[in-house]
Amino acid sequence: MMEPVKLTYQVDDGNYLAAGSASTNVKKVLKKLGIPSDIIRRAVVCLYEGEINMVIHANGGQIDVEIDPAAITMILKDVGPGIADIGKAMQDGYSTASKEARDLGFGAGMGLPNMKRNSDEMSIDTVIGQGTTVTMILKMQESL
Amino acid sequence: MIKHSVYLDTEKCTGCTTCVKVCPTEAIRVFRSKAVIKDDFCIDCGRCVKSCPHHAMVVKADSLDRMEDYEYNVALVPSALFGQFRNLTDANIVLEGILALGFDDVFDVAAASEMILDHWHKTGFEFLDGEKPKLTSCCPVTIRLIALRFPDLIDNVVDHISPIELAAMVARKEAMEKSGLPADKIGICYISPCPGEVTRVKQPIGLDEPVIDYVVPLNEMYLQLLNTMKHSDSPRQLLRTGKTGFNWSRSGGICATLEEYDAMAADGMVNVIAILEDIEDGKMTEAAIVELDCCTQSCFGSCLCTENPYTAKMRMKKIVLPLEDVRNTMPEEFADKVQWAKPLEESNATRFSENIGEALRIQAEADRVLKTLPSFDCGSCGAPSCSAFADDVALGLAEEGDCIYNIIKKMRNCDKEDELDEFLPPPFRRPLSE
Repeated sequence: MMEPVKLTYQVDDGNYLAAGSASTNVKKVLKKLGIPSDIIRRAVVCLYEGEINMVIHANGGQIDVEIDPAAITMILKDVGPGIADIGKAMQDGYSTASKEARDLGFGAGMGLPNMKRNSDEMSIDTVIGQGTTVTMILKMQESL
Repeated sequence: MIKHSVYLDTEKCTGCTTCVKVCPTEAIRVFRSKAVIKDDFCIDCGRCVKSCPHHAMVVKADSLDRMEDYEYNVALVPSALFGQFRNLTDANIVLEGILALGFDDVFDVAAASEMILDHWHKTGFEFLDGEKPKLTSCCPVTIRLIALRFPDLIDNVVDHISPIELAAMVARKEAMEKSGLPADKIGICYISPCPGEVTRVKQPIGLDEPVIDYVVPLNEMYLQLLNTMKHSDSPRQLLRTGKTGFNWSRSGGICATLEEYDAMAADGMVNVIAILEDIEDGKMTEAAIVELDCCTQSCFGSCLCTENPYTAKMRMKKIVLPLEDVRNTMPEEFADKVQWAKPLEESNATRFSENIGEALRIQAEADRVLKTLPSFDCGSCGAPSCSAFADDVALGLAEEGDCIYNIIKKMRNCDKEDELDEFLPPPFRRPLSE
């Protein structure tokens, strides 16, 4: 079986300006691979929202993207404070973002709900004080 | 396959890689001391024409001799032409100069812009419905860029003919009425500031057939006009446009006329690409319409203009100032010609393969190659960057050994990086450890 294409990106803490560079790079690769545009669009939203979350809530972290003919798997891992109430975090408009982040136009409370909406599968693994890992899968079968 | 107007004069090319670096679509490689343009990547933007220190990138268009093929010739005049002349205050002097070259009539394209604007008003701006934001289709290079790199945005492009094409249609009808000649005896000539527009004249976007018969580069026309333009206090009133048409031709000019809509304008290749990336990512939901011009200061910055765009823009102020707000209206019989007859086609040149498994294999190979490269983007391999080179290797278009860094490594039979430093040019050496 063919090895999947693996892409890895580091997300810096508090660097609002650099947030989005992983999604931009992944988009470039997905286009070269000829992935259907609606899947590219959803993958970019998932990654961008995830990157922003890592910057404003979690002191940065690492993004791993695996692409194989069946699916795109995106694993966003941080060592931030963890999510106290996943149920609330998943509600549209709920946010614990700092004033600084809100002043910059982030922290509208749409991040996780948006990621959920745009992925086919999403799971959140979080431990208070240790960090959060968000895994999102976009399936390609239907489009192939 | 598109036949491009930009081509290489191999005699003049030294293989210096300047063009390779400036090409926004990474369409150029240098091989055996000569540049090679990949036809399916080129969008005829003219960046290479402007930057080549040896003037080896040339724009192929028609000469004024083509006038002899027709019995009645009309020149379509772009607004940018008027900004090229020092101390010009009356656009009619330029138009008189064009007639003196042997043309039977002139038609300033800005007047057709006013007609399109009138058409938009009369149809209640219904073209703004659907995918948002709409992207203006006046700049042919922007359209080719979208088809190549942003195919997901094709439905956002305003599917209307350009003011140049409308001017050609109206001018031909007028010429037939005035001369009594059939359509094929009329020669419609566009004076182009832009290689992308030269290509669009020959291979129209959205139209089944060309509506312009030949196209002359603006810089060549400029030289001719220096001989025929005469100072005059009372040239004939040949100019059709008013203030609005001329203002539309500036970067942001379309936006300025759409006061009641959220309209945004960007010019310059880097800015246009950044905006298209944002729109594609769904980050730009506020604007109803976005006006994009790949050249800085729109067509005034195109590579066939003789004057820098800022000076030209300053001069235009003097020419526009005394004009009335005429606002040419759309001739009714052309209202149904505005809509494109066929859709914009996506280019799949940037894809590694039609087969996703094969594409993944190529991407994995490109990743492997990239990790062995110095990430210095020196261009010695003839590709614009290490990542473009890695893609070329994975696609079988280049060999790993074509990298100067790898060549030295192999030549010195040297695997240890620190031993290699003394054989490498300064930029390649590793930083000194503290």
